[in-house]
Amino acid sequence: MEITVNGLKHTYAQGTPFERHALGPIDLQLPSGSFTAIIGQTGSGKSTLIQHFNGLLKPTSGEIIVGNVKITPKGKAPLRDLRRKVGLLFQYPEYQLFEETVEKDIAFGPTNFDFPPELVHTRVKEAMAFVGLDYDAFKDQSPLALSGGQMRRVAMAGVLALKPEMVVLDEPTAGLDPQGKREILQRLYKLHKAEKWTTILVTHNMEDAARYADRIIVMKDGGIVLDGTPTEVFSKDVELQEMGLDLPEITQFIMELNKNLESPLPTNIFQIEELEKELRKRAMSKGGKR
Amino acid sequence: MDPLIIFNNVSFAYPEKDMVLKNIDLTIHSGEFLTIIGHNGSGKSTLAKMMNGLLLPSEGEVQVSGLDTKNSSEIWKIRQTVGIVFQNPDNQFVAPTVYDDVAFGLENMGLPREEMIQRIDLALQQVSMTSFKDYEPHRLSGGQKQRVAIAGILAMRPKVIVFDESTSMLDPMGRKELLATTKALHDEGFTIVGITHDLEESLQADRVIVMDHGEIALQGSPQEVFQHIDKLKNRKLDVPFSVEMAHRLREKGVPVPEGIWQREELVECLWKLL
Repeated sequence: MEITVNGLKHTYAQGTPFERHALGPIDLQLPSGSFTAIIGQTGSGKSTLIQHFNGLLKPTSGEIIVGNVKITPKGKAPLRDLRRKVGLLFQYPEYQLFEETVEKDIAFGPTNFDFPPELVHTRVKEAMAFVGLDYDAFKDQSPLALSGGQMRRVAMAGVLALKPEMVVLDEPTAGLDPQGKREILQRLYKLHKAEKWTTILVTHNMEDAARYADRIIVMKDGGIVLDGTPTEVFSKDVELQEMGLDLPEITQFIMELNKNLESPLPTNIFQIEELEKELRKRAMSKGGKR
Repeated sequence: MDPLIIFNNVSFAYPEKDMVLKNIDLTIHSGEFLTIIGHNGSGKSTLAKMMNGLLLPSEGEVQVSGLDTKNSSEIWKIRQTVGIVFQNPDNQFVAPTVYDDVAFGLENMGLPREEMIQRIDLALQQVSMTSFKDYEPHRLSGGQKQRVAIAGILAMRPKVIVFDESTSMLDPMGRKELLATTKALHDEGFTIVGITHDLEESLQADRVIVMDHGEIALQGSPQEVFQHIDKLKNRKLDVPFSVEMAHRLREKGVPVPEGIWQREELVECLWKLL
């Protein structure tokens, strides 16, 4: 599912003394099947932007076209259909769990969209398998009695059970331990590939942005200031630092190393395994010459 | 260094649940900067909440400046000694302005007005928030909110400040702000205990404790603890990038010395090898 954003602007509380211009104008196109990371400081407009993607917010001016649904300031877009296709996973989604059992919580979305009961059941089972929760062990437990990492998985399963075509992830791993983080992101990435999602990841973690996204958008003061591949965006180290954003640790390391190397290492390496290979190759070839 | 918080064979379980902490012996010294890391559910937050009597041991005892946290008549003295800054900056505000919020904790202490004013002014100054004193807390950034929460604690004149995953909801800028504040407070002589998943944060500490299933699995200086790559990875934890890269290269026969720790050290050593 493709997204096109044309001249989108958003002003909060328009026409009141609290009026505040929050976003835009934004022009943007996200092709079907792409994985885009959005980074930027708190207050840069990231959340405002993504809330337009499933119609939680309507533009003050401009338009958003998601698949075949067009959202305009005045228009009556079929938002119900849109919300089934666009899964939004908010920060700390475990705060939104409310049902008595894990199964009921995950089934809430599909039931609400009038899926027949057998289909709801299948979808719940599938979604739990995707996030790594054993159906029989967890279905009858209270979601509120689970650990933080398990609660987050239940919340994710609730989104997945609707089989979205596009997924917007807002800091999906905040507060999880390093391995929990990796596990969740790897699962999501696998699904992104398998289900051909159009995926948007809002994150403060530059490592994750570099590792998973094929495109990074940097926002500041309600606008897009940088837009490119991870390699392109992270080559703008001075601009990023001025915005209070970091480079991935691995990029900082390569840049430091390159200061002392005659033939510099490529800066498009974002996986430690890959850098290890490159360093080994060079160390061996130099060692061999000695 | 004087012992300030002493855990004496402490175990803890919520009613009808498994043990969250098992036989913990731990002494935190005055002026120390201690970081506690561990996977989700390892017991590190429970440990933190024991430090000022928010939770009480099921077995054993916790002493703060010689006072037993089970002694309910001393609990206010204990909470003035040990303050906790929590994870969510939005859940910690009670008053309409920054100034009133910092004042809130003092209002039950029966201090003379002049002293209250003095303490509030100093506390706001210590976290560089003086110019925001008339702001509504919800208009502040995440990092600023956490600094106001710290000011509220500082006004009570504590000895220990515990940060319970206080940076995990902040953006990179807010995190840096808060780390700088933490470091400054440590330099001023406060005892700092940080509970965190963030490696950079744990590297600032004098001592790192690794919690695993309710027990202390490893402890030592950051340099010592983070050399135990396998033990950390088995416990779902990360090691600093330079340590991991050095280890990987060593395993593959590249002559990188043991004990590499900082990025500069590894760069220096690789530069000669490449």
